[in-house]
Amino acid sequence: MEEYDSEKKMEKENLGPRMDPPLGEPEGSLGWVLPNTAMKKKVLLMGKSGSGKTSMRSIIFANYIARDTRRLGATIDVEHSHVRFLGNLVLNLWDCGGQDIFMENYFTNQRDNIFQNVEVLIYVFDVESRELEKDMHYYQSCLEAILQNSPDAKIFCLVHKMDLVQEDQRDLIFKEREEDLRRLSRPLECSCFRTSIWDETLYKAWSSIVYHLIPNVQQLEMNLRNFAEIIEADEVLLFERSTFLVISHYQCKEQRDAHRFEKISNIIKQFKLSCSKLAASFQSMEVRNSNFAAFIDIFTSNTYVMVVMSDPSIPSAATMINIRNARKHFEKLERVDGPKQCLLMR
Amino acid sequence: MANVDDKHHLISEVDHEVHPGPMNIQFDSSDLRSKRPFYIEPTNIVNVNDVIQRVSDHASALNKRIHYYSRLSTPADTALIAPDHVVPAPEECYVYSPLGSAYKLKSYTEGYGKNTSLVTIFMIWNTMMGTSILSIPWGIKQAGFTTGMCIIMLMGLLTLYCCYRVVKSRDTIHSLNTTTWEYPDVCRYYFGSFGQWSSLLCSLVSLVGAMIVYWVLMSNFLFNTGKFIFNFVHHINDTDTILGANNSNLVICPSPGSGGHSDNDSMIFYANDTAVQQFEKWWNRSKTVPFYLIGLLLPLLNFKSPSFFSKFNILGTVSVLYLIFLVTLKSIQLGFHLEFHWFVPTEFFVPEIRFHFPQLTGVLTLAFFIHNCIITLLKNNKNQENNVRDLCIAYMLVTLTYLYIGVLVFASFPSPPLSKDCIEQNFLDNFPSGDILSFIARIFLLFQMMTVYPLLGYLARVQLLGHVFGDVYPSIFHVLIFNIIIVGAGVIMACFYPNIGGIIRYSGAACGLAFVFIYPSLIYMISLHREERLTWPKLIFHIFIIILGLANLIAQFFV
Repeated sequence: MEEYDSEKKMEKENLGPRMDPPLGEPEGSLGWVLPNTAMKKKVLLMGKSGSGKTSMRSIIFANYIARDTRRLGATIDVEHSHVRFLGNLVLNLWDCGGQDIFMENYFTNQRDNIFQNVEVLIYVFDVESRELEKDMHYYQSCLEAILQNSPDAKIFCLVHKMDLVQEDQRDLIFKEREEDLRRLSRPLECSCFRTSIWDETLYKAWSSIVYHLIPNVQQLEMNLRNFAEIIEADEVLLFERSTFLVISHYQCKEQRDAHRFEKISNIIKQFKLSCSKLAASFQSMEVRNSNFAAFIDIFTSNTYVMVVMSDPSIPSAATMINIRNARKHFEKLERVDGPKQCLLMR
Repeated sequence: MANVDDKHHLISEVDHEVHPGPMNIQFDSSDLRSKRPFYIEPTNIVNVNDVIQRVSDHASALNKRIHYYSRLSTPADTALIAPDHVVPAPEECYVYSPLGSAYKLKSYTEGYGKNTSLVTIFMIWNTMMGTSILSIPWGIKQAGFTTGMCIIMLMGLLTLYCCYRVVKSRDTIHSLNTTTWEYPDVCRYYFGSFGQWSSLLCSLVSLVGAMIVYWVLMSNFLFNTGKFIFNFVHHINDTDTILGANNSNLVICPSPGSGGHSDNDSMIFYANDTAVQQFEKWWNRSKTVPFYLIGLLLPLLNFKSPSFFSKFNILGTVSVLYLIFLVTLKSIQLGFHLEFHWFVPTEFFVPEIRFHFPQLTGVLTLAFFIHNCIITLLKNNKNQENNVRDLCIAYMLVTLTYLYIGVLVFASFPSPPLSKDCIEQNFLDNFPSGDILSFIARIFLLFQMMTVYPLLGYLARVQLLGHVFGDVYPSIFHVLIFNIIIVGAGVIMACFYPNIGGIIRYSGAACGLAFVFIYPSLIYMISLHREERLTWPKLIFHIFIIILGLANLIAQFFV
């Protein structure tokens, strides 16, 4: 319990910019980070029943979708997922606003439990919903709970199922919703995205969310650029391990395909699914032809790296040695940045 | 879930996890949408000059996405199946012959068609038949009767052989999957981008030529219809049958002594009647009527999708059948008037062999033209092994129809009072505007042409703008400019050179050169050469065909 209190204290002290590591902190203060039994920070994925959260989770995290997606009732129990997401985050999925009185009572009683230790709240709105007032009401009650229990949490709002809106009206409708949500969320700040599982917007929204959650992303990008220039790579990408969302990337020349991040992510996730059927796990991949060579490999404990070399004369072994050496450097980088600030912590 | 660090837990985790459907192949989904294939529609193929066709990034990403999502759920689960508005709709497929019909073809997703041989033969006949019928009697007149008949049969055989070569051209390519290919794709395979651009050019020439002919004919028919209605309302007995036969006003010779065309009937003298004079002034075949059509047709050309117009395809068949009926009736009324003079023209007859016969071959090149879409038409045949047989039967029927109409009109043309030289390029012009039967024919043809015109405009626009700008509808501005140019060309021709026979033979010889004569033969020779099976007789024969095509084109300018 003492560790828990000190954790809370640290929380209040470090409200400043998360970029600078606190001075004087001994390297790797593993003291107050407990092994697996530590209080894990949560990512809450909330929204009305049927707004698309389960499909979204399945797509982003490459899980097989639960059989009964056409549930008649709301999710009564929280869906835990043991996916390690950005270090020590656990994804919790909640349905908000069930019709059942029983459901509402349960929700109210368990509120503190649900909303404590929340790092990120992702709230999903169905753009086709006919009960806008009700949706906003539930959203606001969630915000109240967040304000009480985890005031530092980051709030993201996803206006989902945008493919059901006509193309020429999408911008307009999204702008309206965004203004409403911004207004309702005060004093908390929320970032809004419009998403659909049928185009690249979902992937981009989640990539932005991940990008916002990483405190030292500029530093990472600088190091990545140095790395890329040293090994003479065309492009270097850093992926989050479980979702293959692009955390940062460096490219030395204009690439043609703007959709390549999502495509690579989908290809690898599909491959991971196949691997898991054979009780194997994906570790690395090398793709080579006469024009280029690409290497995908485990990088740090929470990331994968993809290196694209357009000079096929450089032997694979050389690049792989370079990646191995860089790995050590980046792990050190993660650890140096202090256990609290850096979410990419072990 | 692939959780790398918990390796020692992995096996038990796998045991606990329920792995549904994808491994269970006995599972069958009642939702056909899960079986619907996703393919890249041709509009998304952005770069056709490379050996490998590149697909647009957007379509490629969607493909990957759908692929991945299908692995996440069971086939019974509809949550991650692509909805209709996301999966691209099957491409609209149009078949057309420039002077015949144009309509939307139903494409069968299973890859094979369900049409019986009879339906396929009828479809080929129906597509080829059209306004080229109107010029066949004139063509026979230009070539001479015997020569004309022989030429019709020989051209039919020649174009049939070239069509057969077109149908067989895909089989010569073994390395690629050619099931979705049409003839321009084969040309591109053999001749690279030159083949692609030249086939595009020829296709455009045929389409624009056809649209100009349509404009001229529509002005003509509209003029005659208006005149008929005016005369009917004002009870004017049309006196322009001064040159008609005795009492029967069945056939007229609009311009005596020459094959030319008098535009505005200025030789007819009426009593001083201001109403009639006003009408004459405002309703003139070449000065005003072509412009009235602009208001009617230019808006129709700007539609994004002309599938509405393809529903009127039946009008084409009805018009042709009515023309056959009309010709039969008239020839019964008029009787036969044939005399055979072999080399010397007489006052009323033309010689059997004339040096103007290339004009007929030029017209026939466009009349027998279906090489651009024959592959698509035959694809829907249920019994593919009968393709060649059905093609031959269809060509035979087309030849018979042309012979029937041409010979009957030519033979029944009342020669003692009128010269055979009077046969007009559009044989309906030989009937006075007061004749009710030809009035009905003109109405039918007018409506049919008004529905085919926007379709041809759409096809020309799709081909040109699609290849030049990469987008079939870049902006209303581009489309409007394109339409104005085409309509302008039609109006200019209708005003200054309304000789449809001339327009047909020039455009026919030009576009037929590539599609009918050169490419089929050349591709056949190249494929044989690659397989080392090219023999001297075949080489000489096919080079001869190519020379014939060239001669056809060159001769148009000299006779």
